Amino acid sequence: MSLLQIEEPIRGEQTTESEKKFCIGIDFGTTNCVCSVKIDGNVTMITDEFGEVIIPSVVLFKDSDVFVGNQIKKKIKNGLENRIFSIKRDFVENPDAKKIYGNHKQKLSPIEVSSLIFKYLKNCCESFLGKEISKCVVTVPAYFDERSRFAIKQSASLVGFEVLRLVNEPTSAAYAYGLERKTRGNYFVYDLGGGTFDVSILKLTDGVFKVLSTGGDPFLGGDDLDKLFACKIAEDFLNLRFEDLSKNNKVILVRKAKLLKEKLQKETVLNEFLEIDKKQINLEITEKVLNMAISEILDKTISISTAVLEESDLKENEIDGFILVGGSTRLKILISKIQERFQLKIFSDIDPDLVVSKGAALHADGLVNGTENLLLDVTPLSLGIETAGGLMEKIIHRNTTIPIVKEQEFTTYEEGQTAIKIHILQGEREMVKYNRTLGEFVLDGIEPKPPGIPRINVRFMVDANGLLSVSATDKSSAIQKELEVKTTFNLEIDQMRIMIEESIKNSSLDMQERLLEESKVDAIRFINELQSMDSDLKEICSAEELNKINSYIKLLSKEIQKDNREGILDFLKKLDLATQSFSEKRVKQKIKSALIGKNYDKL
Amino acid sequence: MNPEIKCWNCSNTFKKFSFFCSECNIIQKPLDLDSFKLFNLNYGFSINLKKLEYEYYALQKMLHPDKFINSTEKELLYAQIHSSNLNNAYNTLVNPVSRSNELLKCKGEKNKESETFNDLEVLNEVLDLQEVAENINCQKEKDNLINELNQTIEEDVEKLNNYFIEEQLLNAKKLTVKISYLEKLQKDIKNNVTFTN
Repeated sequence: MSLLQIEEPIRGEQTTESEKKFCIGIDFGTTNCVCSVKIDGNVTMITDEFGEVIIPSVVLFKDSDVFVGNQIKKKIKNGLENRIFSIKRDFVENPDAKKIYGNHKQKLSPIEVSSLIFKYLKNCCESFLGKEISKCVVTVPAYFDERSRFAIKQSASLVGFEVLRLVNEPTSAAYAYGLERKTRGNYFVYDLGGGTFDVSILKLTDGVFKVLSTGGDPFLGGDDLDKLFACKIAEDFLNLRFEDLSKNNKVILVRKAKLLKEKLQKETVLNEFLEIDKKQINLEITEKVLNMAISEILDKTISISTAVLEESDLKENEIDGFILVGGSTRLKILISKIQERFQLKIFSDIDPDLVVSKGAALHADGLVNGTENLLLDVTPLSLGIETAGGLMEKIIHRNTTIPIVKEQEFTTYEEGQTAIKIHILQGEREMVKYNRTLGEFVLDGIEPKPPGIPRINVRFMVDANGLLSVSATDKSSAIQKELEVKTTFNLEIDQMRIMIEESIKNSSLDMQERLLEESKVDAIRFINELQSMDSDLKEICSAEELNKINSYIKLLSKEIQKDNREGILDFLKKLDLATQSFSEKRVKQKIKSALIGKNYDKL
Repeated sequence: MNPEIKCWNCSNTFKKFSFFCSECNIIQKPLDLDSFKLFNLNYGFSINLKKLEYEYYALQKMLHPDKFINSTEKELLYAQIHSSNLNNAYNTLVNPVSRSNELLKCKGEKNKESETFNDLEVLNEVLDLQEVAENINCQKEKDNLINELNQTIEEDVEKLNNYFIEEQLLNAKKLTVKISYLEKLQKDIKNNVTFTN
């Protein structure tokens, strides 16, 4: 009997193969979104139904329809005051907090609003490419915290995107320069987007793009420049404070300011009309007025850049160039300010509005189709947990290369403690209250033991997306609790923007607070210890000794309440002296009883 | 002797740890290796940093999670841990203080944090420098002090290398503590010194 024949399976069937190889790079910006994809070795910019590459990150609800991006400008005539702008900014405050957006009847969260934009982007990509797509790489501001990163990923996933990687925006831009311009060396990336400001220093060697340090401000961007300029115009030409304008007039004025700002890059004096409340107002504006209005913010970005350079441990002459990213970097005043501070060659030959998306598309292609290149990014802010006294213990320091796993052991604080709270924090300050809470969970079921005996292993893991997961294990009982940090924290924390700045400004203040807290922790621990040995005390000490000890405990407690470190240290010392003979006697007794115990055992 | 390592995928056995199985080429389960072993280096203080960087990049190019996007969850997890271990080990080896501490640990010299530091001579030297740092009042003085510290650290690192060559581990340990103090002081000066006038 002849054997039955089986055909060789068809490898890489054409449609599925090409399907698999498309992975979109999405720059999901505060003001604009840009999508691109690598096809046949080149990055192609994806256009919307109007042929536009730049898609405004704007949403408008009208009747029962949703309009996104350029649809609004092209299709809608009235009701424009209900446009929803800059949704990405709300991620930094709280991506889960529901509120009324525009004229929509139901409350929505930033995640939901931006998923409408992602949905539209997906449609654009699919009709541009003529096929279904799902895989993508999304860029995020380097200085975005945990919650915001997770929320962006969630938002894209909601509409069927499979987010293969989150990439930091400046890193993505550097990747584009490295691959498209074959740039090599140490580069400064200055990224002033619509709503966020990032700086990163990267080392580009053969095929490896390593971030050395990063910094920024998640609340600072081109939008702020427009608003500052609008304020100036309101004061100078309307004799009004910007805040006193109606909501609609504010929108009109900011749009006008943005337009004038762009025009002033080509001309030094402008004569324009502004129509507000049906009145025509003549605006005669010079470049100098614009520059004065926005100078302060630009100076701030320069000082953040300087700090990031210092942290990278590189000297200025070791930097090979300054890469400009984001539409706002077209400002002449900005370029001259940068040149004033840094004597570096400036690169802006890849369109600053498109370069982030291009880098993302290149990285996306590398992920699905393989590449010789490698991106090594860092975590922008330190991560840690709360320890006794309201102090933050950093487990992963900022600017650590990711992915990273770090473990550290902690122990209990009080006699017989059976549970510990793992309070996860992000930020640079010593005191918990100045940092951002990412989440918390309780590890319980710890066997009651004296303080310092249990061993709790806390493990922090940051993946290549910059997303954190935390687990804690009681080593003695092997009880384990795990927690993945998600966006379920409902905390109002708006100090993020000033955290780093303040951490530098207040480090001496922090130090004093820390010293005070430490002395308080020591004192309370000592008092607790003595109180737990109450019966021993009564047995061993004389009435006089006991009196002395108790009065010192009272005085020490008072100093603790007064937050007086000197007093605490003073009485701590006195209490230590007063209990010295007690401890000696107690140790002797213990040894005795231990020996007795042994003898009995032997019997 | 080292026990044999078995590939989790094809059950091939090998004597020395390798990131990939020599038979089926699949990523192997991460082991708890010290920084020197991970990079296949001898236990010595002197390291060719250029070569180490090159090796680090070469390994990351194979083991970074980006290279395992289409793999199983298990392989991706292994990649993540390998990649993290490489990051940790590379950072440990690049800095002289952490490299020295790691080497002392590998050589069985325990470096307990609770151990009090009682080298008076060093303590005085550091305190003196601290005082100088507190009285800085211009950028030039700040730069000078930072440079001076740099030089001291460089000289001490050279000395440290000799201690390791001569296997004077206790001296190496003491000197490492000193260098770590100096590094910290230098960092504090960089970040915190503001001029009084």
